[in-house]
Amino acid sequence: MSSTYLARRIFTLATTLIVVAMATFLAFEVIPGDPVLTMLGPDADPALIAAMREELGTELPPAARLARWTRGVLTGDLGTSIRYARPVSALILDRVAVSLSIALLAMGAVVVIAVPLGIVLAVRRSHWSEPVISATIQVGMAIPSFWLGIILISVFSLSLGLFPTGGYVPFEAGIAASIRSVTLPSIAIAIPLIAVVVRYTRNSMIDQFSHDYVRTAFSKGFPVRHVLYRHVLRNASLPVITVLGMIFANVVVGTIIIEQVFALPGLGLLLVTAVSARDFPLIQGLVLYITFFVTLFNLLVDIAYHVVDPRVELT
Amino acid sequence: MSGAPSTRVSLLEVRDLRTWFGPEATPVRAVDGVSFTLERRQTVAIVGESGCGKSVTGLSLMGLVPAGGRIAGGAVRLDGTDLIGLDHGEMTRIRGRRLSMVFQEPMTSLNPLMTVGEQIEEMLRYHLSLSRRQAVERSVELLDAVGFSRPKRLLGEYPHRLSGGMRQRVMIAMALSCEPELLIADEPTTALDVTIQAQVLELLRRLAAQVDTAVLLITHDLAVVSEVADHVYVMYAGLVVESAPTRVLFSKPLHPYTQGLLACVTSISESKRRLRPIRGTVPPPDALPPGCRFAPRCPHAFARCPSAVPGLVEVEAGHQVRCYLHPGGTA
Repeated sequence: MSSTYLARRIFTLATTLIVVAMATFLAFEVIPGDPVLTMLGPDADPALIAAMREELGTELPPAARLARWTRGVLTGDLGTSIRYARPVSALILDRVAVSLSIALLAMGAVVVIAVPLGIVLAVRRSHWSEPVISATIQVGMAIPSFWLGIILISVFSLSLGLFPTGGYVPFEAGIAASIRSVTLPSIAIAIPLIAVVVRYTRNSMIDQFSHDYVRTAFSKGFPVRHVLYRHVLRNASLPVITVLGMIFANVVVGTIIIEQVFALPGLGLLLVTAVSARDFPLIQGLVLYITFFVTLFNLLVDIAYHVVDPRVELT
Repeated sequence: MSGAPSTRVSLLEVRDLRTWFGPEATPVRAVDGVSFTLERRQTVAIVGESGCGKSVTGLSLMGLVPAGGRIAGGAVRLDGTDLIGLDHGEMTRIRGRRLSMVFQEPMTSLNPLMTVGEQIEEMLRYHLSLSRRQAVERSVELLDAVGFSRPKRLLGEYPHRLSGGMRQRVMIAMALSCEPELLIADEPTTALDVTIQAQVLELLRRLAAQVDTAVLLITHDLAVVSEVADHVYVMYAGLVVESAPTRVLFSKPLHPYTQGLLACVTSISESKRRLRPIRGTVPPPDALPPGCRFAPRCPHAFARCPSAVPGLVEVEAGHQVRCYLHPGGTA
């Protein structure tokens, strides 16, 4: 990997952030809704409304507002939330731990469960299991995670009492309790994605079996296990790595929804509040933040891909 | 040489090998009763057009019949042991160590994600229990033997950086690394540039001779055969149609198919003779003509040909042919 590659990727990352920021800005120019009216109510004193507008700068022309916001971002200031009257970065920092732990736990579950399961299902193929597996995978992919969340709450929280029904326990209050508080939401997000990754892993393994190098490996006198783990697995992992990268965006979107179900004070809940309050600085800040994580993760995936496949030149 | 009965067991004895594909009731007979013998340190060629069953024959010997196929009958005796009766684990212990193979497709036969070194070393370490360092040293020797000028550097290269000829040389180094008793070379030079075909073939022959490995050469190229083989079996549509010592086959081909193949070879000494292609193509194994399978393409076909498949008869010591035109061919 060259330094020019890194420079180019950072440039791409920056461009993505700019485009996303512009798109969000434009979207909120077009849709109706006024943050001041939302906050003060339609019957508020016109003088108060005017004063507030003056203070927040919502009366400035769009270009000027965008310029002001961009200047702020470039100097590391994401602005102040209209709804919460607090710096956007402070609001995000308060809640990022919640969303990040759900997302990472869900991603971890996908990798740890789906990849080995896909391998096993590829190796132990039989005629009768084929339709069962594909039907299960189809159903798994189709289950919406919010519904799954509700089912998980009713079974594991209400009936069995193993997990809390909702709410977040910060790390400082105990790691075990903290993980317990995000376990069910992570599982709810992970299950449909596990189905996707199982299918990819399995298909990729099966596809690799028919390649010539596998026949060569057998001709060299290696037992099935050696051929499988030393030869097939590495080749089969390439499409799986790609799909893991794409899935991360689904996980992030999944956290936004699942935080509602479990009443978790994460970025998702904050984003929903910000949108309904037309809290433009907060929305922009959140979108920027989420985009940054997704893009960064994709960069890591590309690097991982290169590590596995020497044919891919990162230039 | 073949013909003379020997008290010793032949290195490889294939008897009536049948490899069929598809459904039990209506099988596609890719290999339909092939027999041949190979002695130690001998080079024997199986010749025929593509689709005549020669590659499947090679893969059957290795126990690597492609998915959907099965060995429906016959015997493959390596030094007296029937390989067809072996279970998976026993066959695994024979592959690579006693029996190895070089494939037709050098571009795809190596693992793209492993370095050349890793791919040779794993074989040496697995079969010969060499230490890491010994395996590296031996790999360098092997790569040097197959003609690489900087073998040490090559160890760290990935296959995609090598040309087809280089990859095939790596395959040869790998296949001969454990000094097997028999090497099956399935069209080892077909995918290569004409300029390096001879070079790779010569290498294969020289190295096999060095480690006392017998070679079963599977090819469609009679020019290749004339240079290296001791004995030739000509295959057509899943059957051996003629078998003879190489010199005999070239000087006195009896089967019209063999004659046709020879007529296709450009010969400098006979440059006046025009190249005569055999008309038509090999029938697919699921649509074989009745009787002699070559009859529809044969310039000498007569009424009797479509009646039944002619038997393989010995017309002189070591020379057998499956054709009604030849005395005794009445089975």
